[in-house]
Amino acid sequence: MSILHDPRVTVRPVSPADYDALRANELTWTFGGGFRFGGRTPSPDAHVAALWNGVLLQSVGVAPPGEELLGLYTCFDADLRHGHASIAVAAQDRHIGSGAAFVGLGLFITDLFTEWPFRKLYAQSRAGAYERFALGAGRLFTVEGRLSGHHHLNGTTEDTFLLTIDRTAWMAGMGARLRRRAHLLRAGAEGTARKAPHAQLG
Amino acid sequence: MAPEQWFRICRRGLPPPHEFEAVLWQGVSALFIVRGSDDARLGVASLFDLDPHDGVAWMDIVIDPMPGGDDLLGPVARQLLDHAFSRWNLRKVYASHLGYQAPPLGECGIDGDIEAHLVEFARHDGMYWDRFITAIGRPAWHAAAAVAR
Repeated sequence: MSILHDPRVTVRPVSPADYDALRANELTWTFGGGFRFGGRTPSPDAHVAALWNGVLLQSVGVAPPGEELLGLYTCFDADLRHGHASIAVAAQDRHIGSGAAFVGLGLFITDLFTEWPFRKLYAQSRAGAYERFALGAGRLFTVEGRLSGHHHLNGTTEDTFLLTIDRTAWMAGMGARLRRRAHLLRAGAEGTARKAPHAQLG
Repeated sequence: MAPEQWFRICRRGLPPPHEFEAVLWQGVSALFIVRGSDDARLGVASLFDLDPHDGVAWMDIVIDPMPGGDDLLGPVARQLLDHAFSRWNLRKVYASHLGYQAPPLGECGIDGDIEAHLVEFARHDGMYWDRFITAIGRPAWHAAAAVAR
């Protein structure tokens, strides 16, 4: 996987140096945090094993210049026979609000569709988290299921949404915009510094 | 067993013999052989991906291709659901089927709600087929069991 750049976020593969920060953050982030563990506290070793279980690609989003950790993007359960995979994101609330974590997710998805022959990507979201990006329904993704009262949280239950991102629709819309933007950024960087620090989308 | 009917085990193709047992038991909480009155093996029923935190699990039933085999789906599902809801503190049990597979549980007398319809989920016989997820809730199951008694 390439290292992907945007002025607000850099998306790069997870490295062992990220493990401690990821373990601490994954258990406390309210957006997608703990999705692997369902309320359990994994030991450091168990966390690393779970981190890579069934994973095809996994990246962190970091904010320049200090490399503050914004979020974790995971592609797992890849099924090339049927042409789909699942994705997950965990992020800090304030970076969800700023849009940086979602830009990082957009770069991650575009790179997946660029490098792999997936027709579709699936994602699950608790109802509470879904409200944060529900405006994208029908434009960026399709809601194909709603599991009533699926998730137990805070002494009650929450619905879980099953979402699909279609390759054709994504690459014609958001993917095309992100690729154009990446080309412009690369052209700008090459025009000024005459070098690109990392690979860019496209 | 017809591989195309056993999606949980064969979704990426039939596992090689040395991996089959591991795949068979992966994530499984209960696994039963379905036998007829003459003790012939007719299929397999399993409960898997049980999540005690959320109180949910998934069920999977595969019946050997044979005349009248689809008629067994309802009785086997009832026994498996009895086992699931009586032995575990589950709120919901999910079942999943693809468009080309045996009739959905709703057509077998099982009271469930289709909560997801994943369009063109799996490839089979040269085309893509939709996947449906049916949820059977504990209250509905108790009500059905009371009527049956």
